[in-house]
Formats: sequence, structure tokens, C-alpha cells
Amino acid sequence: MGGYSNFGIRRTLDGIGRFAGKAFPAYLRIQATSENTVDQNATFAQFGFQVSASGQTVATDVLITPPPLVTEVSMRDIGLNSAQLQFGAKNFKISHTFVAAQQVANNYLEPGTGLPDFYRVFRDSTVIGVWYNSRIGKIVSVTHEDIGQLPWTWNLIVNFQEQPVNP
Amino acid sequence: MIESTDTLWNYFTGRIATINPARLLGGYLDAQDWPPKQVDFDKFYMLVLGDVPLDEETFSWNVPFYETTVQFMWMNMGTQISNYTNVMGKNRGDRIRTCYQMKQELLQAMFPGFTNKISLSVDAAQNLQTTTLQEQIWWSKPAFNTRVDRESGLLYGTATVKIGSMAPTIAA
Repeated sequence: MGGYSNFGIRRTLDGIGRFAGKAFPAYLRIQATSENTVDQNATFAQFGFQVSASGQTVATDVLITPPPLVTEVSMRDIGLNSAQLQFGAKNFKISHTFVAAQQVANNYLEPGTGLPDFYRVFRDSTVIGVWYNSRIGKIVSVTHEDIGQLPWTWNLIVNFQEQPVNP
Repeated sequence: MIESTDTLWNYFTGRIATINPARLLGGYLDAQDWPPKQVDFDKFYMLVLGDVPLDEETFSWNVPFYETTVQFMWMNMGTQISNYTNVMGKNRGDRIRTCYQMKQELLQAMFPGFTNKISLSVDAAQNLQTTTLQEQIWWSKPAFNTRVDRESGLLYGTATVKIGSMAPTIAA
């Protein structure tokens, strides 16, 4: 034996996130209906029309817990025509404890083998993005670090606009 | 002005429904989710590139005549040999055939190069409402282009089509 234990180091990360993490609460925003339903049954979406949801729930926010460790990377100006529009990335270090729970809750399985598909927690067609600091972010990159043949942390690069849009 | 591109996509999807009902259709590329999700493979999307007014002899400020450039686009990955009983052949080796099949379907769907113009809206029950306008749109023969992404091996196919259409009358 020797070396690191996946569960041990993950519990340490969970503890840091819960009790010493320096971050706001972060949520995974998920569409209530699958993209396929919109594509095949509602042709209006192909043309860019939107209709009033009239009280229906169209998205849910799942609290990422244990809280992720968040690092602000940079902001830069993407404004056109002399305008200023700040846009930038944040790094989210998310414990596999959350990812594993989400995978089980949503039954994300690889179709061929029936093995757990953890990527779909962030890349399923229903996932909209990360809701953080009253802004919705686009998940740009999903990578993971593994110990003992299991991931222990998921590292996300998420792009945010400085100004909130449709809060 | 959006009636011309709406009409073309609506006509195209109607034709594809008979040519190959299994073909996936995504609509305007600029009507996809934001933040965007991954673009699906073997699926037609339409990119609107711009509108150019016709020359002085044919342009009228009363009924502005514009030529709109659109690009149908799609990506082909090919079939992966991912399962033990899946397919035989070279891994993802059928992507060129899928690409040309999509070109053929598009060419067939573009026939005969004109159709009646429509105006679209959506009602509260999420149904598209079509109003037929008393004029037509015309479009050019599609020009195809294929590019290969060297890193991923993906095929990017495009078909450029120019639409001629009269914008709504400007009364005053």
C-alpha cells in the first residue's frame, strides 16, 4: 500500500470547500426539457422564436456541493466599436463527490457499456452552464485529475461576461 | 427582411422531410443556445452572412431589393468503431460518403430555385403560423466547399446560396 487514497484526498478537498473555501455559492443550471424535445417537436426554435413559458419551469439550478474552489483568471475587453465589454474566465475546482452524485441522480450512463459517464454532468444536452455571482457562465473546458483509477477533482474553465444578462 | 431566410429554411426542411426524413435539422446557427452547446454531427445548420442591395437600376427605396448570402453548414465525424458488433471498416472511414450524401440531399432540396415567400410567427401553443405573401424568392445554385480539420479529422461542409428577395414595402 502507500501513496494517496482517492477518498482521503477527496474528503480533504470537500472539507476545504465547505469550511475554508473562498467562493460564492455556485450552481449548475440545467434545462427542464431535453434539447431533443425542442429540436424535433418544436420547429419554432430552429427559427429563433421564443414563446412565453407561462409559469412552466424551464430550468433548475443544482447547488454544487461541496462548494467548489474558484479562481478568477482574467478579464478582457471584447467590446466592438469603441465600446467596453468585459469578458473573462474563472477556474472551478469541483469535487468528484458532487459529480458522482449528479451522475447517479441523472443516470448518466455510457450507452455502449452501461458504465458511468461523468462527463455528461457538465456536457449533457440539457446543461446550460454555471450560475455564479448572479451571472451565467459558459463551460469552456472540462478536465479531471485522477487518483486510484477514479477522478477526485474536476477542473472547469468557465467564461463569464462582467455585466449580468437576464438575471 | 428575415422573411427571405425564413422562407428558404422552411422550404428546405419541407423538401428534406421527403428526401431523407431521418436527416437532423438544426435551423439558424444564430438561433442555437447561448451559452452554446456542442454542434451536433451530420446535422444541417444555416448561417446568415449578410445582405447586399442590388444596383441602382433594380433597387428601389420603396421596395428594397436585397441579395442575402446564407451558408448551409454541417460537420461529419464518421462512424466510430466503438462496439464489438458495430461496424466493419476503417474507424470513422465513412465520413466522406456521409458528407457527399448530405451534399446530394441539399442539392435535391434546393430544386427548383424559387418558391413563394412566407412570413412566420409563433403562437402561444408553440405552433408556427405561416402567412403566404404574394411574391416569390429566388436562390442561386449551391456552391459546395469542404474543409478538413487536421487535429480532429472532422469534415466541415458548407453550401453557399444567395437569395434574391424584395424586402417589405416602405410606405413613408
